[in-house]
This record gives sequence, C-alpha cells and structure tokens, in this order.
Amino acid sequence: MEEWVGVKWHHYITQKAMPSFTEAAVALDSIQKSLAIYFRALGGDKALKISFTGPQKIHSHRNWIQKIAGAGDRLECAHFQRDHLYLPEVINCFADSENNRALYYWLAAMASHNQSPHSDHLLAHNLYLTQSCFKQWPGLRKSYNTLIKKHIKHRRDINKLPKSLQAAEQQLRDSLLDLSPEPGIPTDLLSQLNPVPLWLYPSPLGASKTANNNDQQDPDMSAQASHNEAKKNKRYQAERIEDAEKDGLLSFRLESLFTWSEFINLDRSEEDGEDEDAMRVADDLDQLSVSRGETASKLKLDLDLPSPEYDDHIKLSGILLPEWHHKKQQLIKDHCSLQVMQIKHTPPATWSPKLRKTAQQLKRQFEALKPQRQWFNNQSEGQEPDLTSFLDFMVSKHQGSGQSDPKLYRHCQQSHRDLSSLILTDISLSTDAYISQSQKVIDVIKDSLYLTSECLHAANERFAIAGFTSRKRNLVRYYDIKGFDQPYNDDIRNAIHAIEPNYYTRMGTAIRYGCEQLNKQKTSQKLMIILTDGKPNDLDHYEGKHGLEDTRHAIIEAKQAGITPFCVSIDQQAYEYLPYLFGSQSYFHIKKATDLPKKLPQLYYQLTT
Amino acid sequence: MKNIQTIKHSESAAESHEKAPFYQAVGNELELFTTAWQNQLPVLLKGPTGCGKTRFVQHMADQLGKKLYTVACHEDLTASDLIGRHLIGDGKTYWQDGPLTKAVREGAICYLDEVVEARKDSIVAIHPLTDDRRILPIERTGELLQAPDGFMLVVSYNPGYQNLLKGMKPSTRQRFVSMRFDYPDAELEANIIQKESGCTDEWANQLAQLAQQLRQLKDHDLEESVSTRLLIYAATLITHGMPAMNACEAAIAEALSDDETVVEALMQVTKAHIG
Repeated sequence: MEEWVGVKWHHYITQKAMPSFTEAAVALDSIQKSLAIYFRALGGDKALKISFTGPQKIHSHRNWIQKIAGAGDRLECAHFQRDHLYLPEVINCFADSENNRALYYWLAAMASHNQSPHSDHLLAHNLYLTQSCFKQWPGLRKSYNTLIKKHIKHRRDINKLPKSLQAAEQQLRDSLLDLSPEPGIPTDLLSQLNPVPLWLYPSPLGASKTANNNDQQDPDMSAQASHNEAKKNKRYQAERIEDAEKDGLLSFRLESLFTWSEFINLDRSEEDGEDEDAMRVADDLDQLSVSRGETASKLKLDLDLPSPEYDDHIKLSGILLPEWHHKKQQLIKDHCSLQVMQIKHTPPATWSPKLRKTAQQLKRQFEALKPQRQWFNNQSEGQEPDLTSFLDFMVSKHQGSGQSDPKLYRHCQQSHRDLSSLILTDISLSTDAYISQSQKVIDVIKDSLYLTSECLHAANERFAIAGFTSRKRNLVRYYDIKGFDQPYNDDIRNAIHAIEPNYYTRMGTAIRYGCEQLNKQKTSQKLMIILTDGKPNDLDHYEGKHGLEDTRHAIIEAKQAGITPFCVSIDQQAYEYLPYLFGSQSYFHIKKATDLPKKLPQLYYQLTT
Repeated sequence: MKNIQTIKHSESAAESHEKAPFYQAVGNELELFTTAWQNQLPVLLKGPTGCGKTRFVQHMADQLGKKLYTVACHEDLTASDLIGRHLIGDGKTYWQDGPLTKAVREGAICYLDEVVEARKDSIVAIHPLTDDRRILPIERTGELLQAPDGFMLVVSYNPGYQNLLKGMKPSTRQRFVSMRFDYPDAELEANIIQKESGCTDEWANQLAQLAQQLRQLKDHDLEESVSTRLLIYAATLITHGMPAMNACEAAIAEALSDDETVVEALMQVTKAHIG
C-alpha cells in the first residue's frame, strides 16, 4: 500500500513539476530511419549515426515543486559526440504529436550543418544555425515559428522567476522570435534559464576525457551485446562536479533514516559473471567513470588445429589443385590440397525479427524472378502456328530456297532462368573482428547469407553457398554449406548460423574448386559471387603480390570457363586491388559493412535481371 | 510493329526549327556529335536515367535536318524487330523494313535507347554498321545495304545500372565514340525545368535546389537519384494547379522509392525546401 501511494505521488508530483504530453509523445525509434535519410539529404555527415542520449545534468533555476519532485535538473539535449548525433529518446514537449515529430526533423536540420555549438556562445551559435537553416531551406521557417511560439507558451512564467533572471528570460524569448543575438545574455544567466529544446547543445563536459576503447576492442565485452542496439548506443554522461550540490530540499529527518547490516553468505565467484543489471544501474547513475585501456591482464591462447572430436566433418579430402607462380609465370600442378568440410554442430538458429522482416520485404521483390509461362517462337512443334516463321518459310519457298526442316510453331512453356549462382564467402579469422559495438564481420556475413538465401529460395533460383578458409597450401578448407541440388530448409539456415571464423584466406584455391562445382552445372549462365573482407593471405608466403597474382589467375581461369565472377568486399582498401583482380565492372565495395545484408540481395537482383 | 516507337521529324529543317526539341548544352556535346556525324562515326551516349540523352539526340537530329528513328530496346527485341520482316497483304507476302533498315536506306539517324537491355544476339546485327564497312546485310531478302554518308547510328545506356549478365561487351563499346552525360548544375537545371514545364523561375530554382540535396543520397539511401525528367514532371503538375507538396510526392518521392520511410524522409526534405 505504502509503495502504491509512493508511486502515485511520484507520478503526480513529477507531472506537476514538469508538465509533458505523454499521449502525444514521439519516440526516436519510430522515425529514426527517415530522420537519418533526411539528415544526410540536407548535407549531414554521412558517417554519423543518430542515437538517443541519456539525460544530462542542467543547472536551470527550479521552483519549489520541481525541487520536491527532484525534477528539472536533467534534460536530454541534442548534441554531437564523436561519430554520433544524439537526440532525445522521446520528445513530448508539445500536445500534438505532429509538432513533436517536427521537432526531431528541426533538430536534424540544425545538426546537418555539422557544427557543435560552443558553451560560451550557445545563444549566438544556435541563432546563427537557425538563420542558416532558413537561408538554405526556407520551408523550415514556418515549422520553426510554430514550434518556438508553442515552446515559449510552455516556458515558466517570467513573473515566477527570480528577479535576477527575468530580464534575461525576456531577452531570450525576444531573441528566439526575432533571431537577433544582440545584446548577448551572460553564460551564467543563460545556464539558469530553462533550456530550449530546439537548440543543439555542446558536448557534455568531461566527455572528452572518456576513453575510447574501440581501437583495442576486447572480444569478451560481447557478453553485454545481449542488450538491444539502441540501448547500446545510448550515451552516458561523465561529468566533473565542481561544487557540492546545494540545490535540493530534504523532506524527511535524517535521524529517521535507519540502516542495517547482517552476514550474508555470498558466492563471490558469481561476481565474475555478466551483470544483467548493468544497463539499469547505468541509467540510474549521474555519471560513469570510464578507464583507459585494459583493466586486467588476460591469458590469450592461439589454438592450432582442433582435436578431431571438436573439429568439423571432413566430407572429402586430398583434392589437389594448382597454384599460379607469378615469377615463373606458370601454374604449379597439384600445389594445394583441399578438404570439403561440413559444419559439425548446427544448433537451431534464431534470426532477429528485424532481419526476418527484411527478408519478407525482399522476398516479394524476388518473386518476380519466379519462372512464368512464356511463348517460344520458331519451334519444330507447339500449340499454335507461328505466323512469322510460316511467312518466312513461304517466301523462302517462293524464292526456291525452302528449308528442309521448317520450324513453324509456337510453344508455351514455363520459362526458367538459365543461371546457377555460387556464393563463396571468406570465413577466415579476420572476419572475427568487430565492426560495431555488437557485431563482428562474420555476423554481418551470416545475416547476408541468410537474407540472400531466403530471397533466392523465394525466386526458385539455383544456388549454392560455400565458405573457405586455409592454413597453408596443404590445408585449404571448403565448407559446403548448401549444394546446388540441396533443398533450402532449416538445416541450411542452421548451418549458416553455425559458421565459425578460422585461419587464413587462400582465395585462389577456393575459387578454383568453386569453379569446378559451377562447371558441373548444366545452365548456360554461371555466376560466382565472392564475399570478402580483405586481401588473400596465408602463412606460407601467400600474401602480397603472390596471393594477389594467384587469385587473379584463378579469376581469369573462371572467366575462360564461362563463369562470371563478381566480388563484394567490405575492405576499406578494396579499390586499391580489386579492379586489378576482378576488373572495373566486376566488384562492388560496400563502405559500411553493416549495410552488407541488405545490399547483397539487391546487388544479386541488379546483376541478374 | 511491337514495342517500337518511331519518332519522325519533318524533313524541312526550317519548318522544324519552330518546334525544335529544346536542349540545353552543358559542354561541347553539340560540336562533338556534329563532328562525329560529319565523319560517319557511330556514337554511344552514357549517363543516368532522365538526364537528357534522348532529348539530346532529338535535338541533334533536328539541328542536322535528319529524320530520327528511335528504338526502345528490351529483352524481347529480336534482330527482325530492328531489320524487318515479311508481312501478308493482298493475298501475297511483302517485306517491311525495320527502323534500322529504314534509317540506312534513308540516310537517317537510328537511335537505340538502353541498348544493353536488348539480347546480345540482336545487337550483333549492328556490328557491320559500326565499322568502316558501314553495311547492313539482310539475310531474308538477300540484300546488302551500303549506308549513305548521312546515316548515323547512336546507342545509349545507363552505366550506373550494373548488370553482369546483360552488360555491354567491351568489343561492342569499342566501336563507338562515347559521350558521358550527367545531371546539369542547379542553374542550368532550373533553366531546363522552366523551359520544359513553363513554370515560374522561382519554382524552377526551388526544384533544382531540391534535386541537389536529394542527389546526395545516391548509392547510400537511393539506388537512383532524382532525374531532370522527374523535376520537369513535378514542375508541370505545379504549373497546372496541383499543390506543390502533392506534386513533389507523386513526381519525386514516390517515383524514387517504394519504402515508406524513405518516402517520408524525401517529403520532409521537400517540405524544408518549399514549405
């Protein structure tokens, strides 16, 4: 009962202290994609990511109700921080959701100038950005005027402010309406006024002192990756407070606060486990301390080949393949030994709902590739006479040059795409690298294979999936994930999900074996899509020029065999060597690795329709 | 004749100048094309959708006083569609020339639009016309046509649309003088929009500026950026009384994407520009 009353009181007093319009609230999540496109279209930095921010400490003047409620001392401000633009998680400033949504777009337009206001020129810089917005995008003026007038109505009554702030508040309101920064408002006075939600704010104090551990990513940190993506990108404040907080009201007597302690038998070993409450605790903290570098030394083992009971199944072994020696300019026969592998453990896979939704959307597009009934002219037999062929035949006969085997019919049959595609993916250890807080390259590759497979299956395409890795020339592993004649089902989905990165990248050998598989197909068109994250390399000098030249030669062999090779790479340096390997029209570089899952099916569609 | 669009201009250059197709030159493309025509060289135009390739050819045909035969290529286009076929009439069969044959006989310009869409075996028919022989063999009639000096072959395609199984073979590409086209800068584009749609200068400028913003999204959020053609559509709708936002939604945002969130973003950008 006491707790229930407490909750009710909290809600009542908070609403009283900080009026907001919950029913009209708009969450960033709901418009994030549109907002990002809008931001980029207006010239915003394409490398920036839009995320939501945690509330930051502000020092605006609070009335006594706000002090009782413990409200009004924090705000989610729009600001830049490194490679992110942080916006409020939810906007509920206005009674109309349309205006709350418009505020998000306004903030994105302000931010598209890629300028972070300086704390000493907050008013002048924001007014400058506002005027720049009007100059570039006149249509925003109407939106700004609507929002600013409504905001001013919601600001605290000037007469209820301390005398020392009233003039500054009036000046601020005038400036917001007429966009004149003169005369300026002293920084200390401005910081005591209510914040303006239409403004960008400087990066929080002390943020520059937080350590960036991205360049020394600890793989074990992935334990925290169970939280959703948005939560992970949430920013927390690291702030140095100069003075002890004196702006509060104690509504209880300190001597009535009891404490107690007793012995509890704790299992301390559990404390090494993942703290599931870490995110909740982080939400409750005003600031987080971030240390630089590793906090403990770790024992890292680089394992050799796994023992047979842990290794994958070897389906075929001792397949000998040649390798190109560029100095001798000759193909060295039987230089490499390849094993065809099958993943041993394929537990049931769970794909993210977002990925499944994308698959559904893409499938509809791919169904257009499904075989349809089609008329074929100029046939020896068929359901209808072919008038054009008959005319040609009659004219030829009239001219005395009649054919002995005239083809005078039209035949209707299911058309089929005369194409076999092999998706060959690099699964070397380099794909174990992180590309974001939560994703490794291999995760992106798995998602890409899943999405593409779903699409190709929906379109009844003939396709195979394979992965390759190597450890010197005598151990090239070719993972046969899906064969051309295998039906696409849950076993294949599980196998894709179970792919594990290992060893190195002897690309030329894998391409040659892939070509052998494609050459067995009876279709007239054969496509090999190679997914990779870097250059060919292996321990035994298969790197630099030697690796590139062998791979290039394997690609030339593929082309000579009538196969169309195409490379999709997420390597930032791809443009330096891929044109040499594949030719200028036969590769695609994906700048942002996380785009690969969506890009790959689209690329396939574009290449084959 | 299925799927073949034939555009015929008046033979009289003087008469045609009154209704000459408008084309705004960006560089020296007029001189280059004219020189190629004077020297019997085939021309390849490459550039994104809706940037003015077809209009350029129409304009040049008009300037040179030549008749123009335009063929919109597609995957079902056969060599017969280009060269000709036998037809029935009055109880007997007779031969009818296709647009390519007509152009050769008349010394006109034959324009194959989006040539990579056609099957490779159909395009082989143009090879003898693109080298110094300039001949067109017609197997079914046993003729061997020699192209007159006035004949010119022009083909076009969009290199941004990569298709491995349908690309232009290097051996074909090497037979042409190639000209690259792109969207013009904002000032020129505004001029084109105004001339084509008859809209006010203000609307033309606003739409050209909007296009500059939207083109930043190419390859990232949009497969193809907004074309000059779409901007002209939008301007035409506005000129004829459609509310600007509705016109831009129909002619630009919905034309560029099926994804609702992308359309929403494009509309917000439009709103930022035109209010």
